[in-house]
Amino acid sequence: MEDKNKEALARQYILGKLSEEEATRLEEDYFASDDTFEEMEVAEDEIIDAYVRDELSSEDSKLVKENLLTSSRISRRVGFAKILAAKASRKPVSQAEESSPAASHEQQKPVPNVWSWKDVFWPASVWQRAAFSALAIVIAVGTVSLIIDWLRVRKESNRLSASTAALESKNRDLIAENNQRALETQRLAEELKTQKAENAILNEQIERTLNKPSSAVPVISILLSISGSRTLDNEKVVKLPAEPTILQLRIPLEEVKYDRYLVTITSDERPVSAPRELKASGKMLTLRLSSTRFVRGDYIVTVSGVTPSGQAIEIEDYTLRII
Amino acid sequence: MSIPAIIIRGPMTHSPDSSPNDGGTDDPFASTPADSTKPTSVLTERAFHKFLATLNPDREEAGRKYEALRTRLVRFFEWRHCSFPDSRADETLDRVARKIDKGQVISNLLPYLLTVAHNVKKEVWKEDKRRRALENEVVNNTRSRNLEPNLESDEPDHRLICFDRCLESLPADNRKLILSYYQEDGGAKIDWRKQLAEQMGIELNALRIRAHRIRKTLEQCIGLCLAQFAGTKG
Repeated sequence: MEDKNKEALARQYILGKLSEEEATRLEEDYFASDDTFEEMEVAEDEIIDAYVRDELSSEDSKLVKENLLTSSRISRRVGFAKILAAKASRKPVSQAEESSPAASHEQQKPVPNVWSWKDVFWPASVWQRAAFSALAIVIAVGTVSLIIDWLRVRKESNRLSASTAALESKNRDLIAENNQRALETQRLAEELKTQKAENAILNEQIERTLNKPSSAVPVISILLSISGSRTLDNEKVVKLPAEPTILQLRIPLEEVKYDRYLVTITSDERPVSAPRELKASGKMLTLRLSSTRFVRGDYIVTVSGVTPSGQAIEIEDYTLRII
Repeated sequence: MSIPAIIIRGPMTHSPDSSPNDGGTDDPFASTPADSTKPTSVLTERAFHKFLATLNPDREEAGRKYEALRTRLVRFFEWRHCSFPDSRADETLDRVARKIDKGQVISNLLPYLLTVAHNVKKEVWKEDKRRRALENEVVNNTRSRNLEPNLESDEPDHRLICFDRCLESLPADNRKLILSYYQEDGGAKIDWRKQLAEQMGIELNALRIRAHRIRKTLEQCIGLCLAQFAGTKG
């Protein structure tokens, strides 16, 4: 059969428009020949496709409805053909169905659009569902974990902020306290300095008063030596008198090398009085101090020779203990 | 291919019985009166195997031929507008198998088969005509409502899902071809397909066949996919 003849014949046969004789001949052909049978199937495709696209004449369309759609297989093929037509023409499936003759003549369920949230989020395949469920669980667990971590970090951050604020406050308090103490120390130092100055003035006044010839103030003469001190009454240790007294320190010199000598008395490296410049009388230096200058403790008496240029050269240290 | 050992047909209330007690006639043109109430007899395993042996001595090849014959018979009954085409095809094959089992030698199987099929077809037409006469408008309404009965049996979502899935499973070239082939409609369709055939360097008829085969594969895939949904629906 010519191709075009075959096509036309097949279509006529399927629609039921051939004579019985022609139909029987065609049947013998397609039962015997695989190629002819395939041609018949192609013709069926094209009839169904034309029916779906409303390309058949009204007579042929009626023949399809009455004769072919009673077959469940062909009905199913019509449903498939609608979807294929829509997909191929990139129309929504519902639009393609509205234009089909079946939809225009019958009440049918509307076919939804191709895209479906259900299809996206809940696929049909079991393994895809399992994979999607596992992914959802991982995402959920991850999200919960992130939230917990965020809460923990926030709490920690708040705690650190509070701690920092407390430390800053304490620091400010300590600085203020320190400043106050420094001021206090400065005040006390100034007070002490003033006091010392006053004491020195008072001691000098006392010494002047005590040194007046008419004065009946007792004098304790202390002869110093390198290894200790001795008083005329008691060696090494000098008892501090209760009443103001003149302590007369007598410092012996091994040799008189200098015209002038400088004598300083210190206790714990602090000067008891201003350095005194003395002249030797024979081999002895004499220094008179008010007892009020002294408190109980150990004292060092340093004797230095003063050169003509004014330079002081240490000669000897003498120790003195006041009890 | 697995071949059923015994083919059992239930009572065919809409199909006439090919009674085994027909006197051993070998004349396939002798059709028995329609009797929808009489159940058909079961095809025995022996009869079935005898029939397969008639098709081909090799069991595998015989099975393939059997399936090919059955498919053609189903189409025959569909294209001849008979109800229940699958059952009619089975009935036709059973009748032939029973004849062979009784000892009839059939020199040319295909024409004999076709003749039996025609007999069955005539019986079905008579039966359908009688039924239509009895049921009248009710039958017509049923038939008209059944215009696309099986479209309602598969959920639209499932069809779309299966279509997309199966389309995706096609090799890229085939997917592109099938969508291109059905891209146009109306008058532009023929020209478009000619153009497509030229681009591919093949005849238009070869393109038709190729598109048909891809479409067939797609439909088979969709059928399996929908069966899975039906199975999971339970």
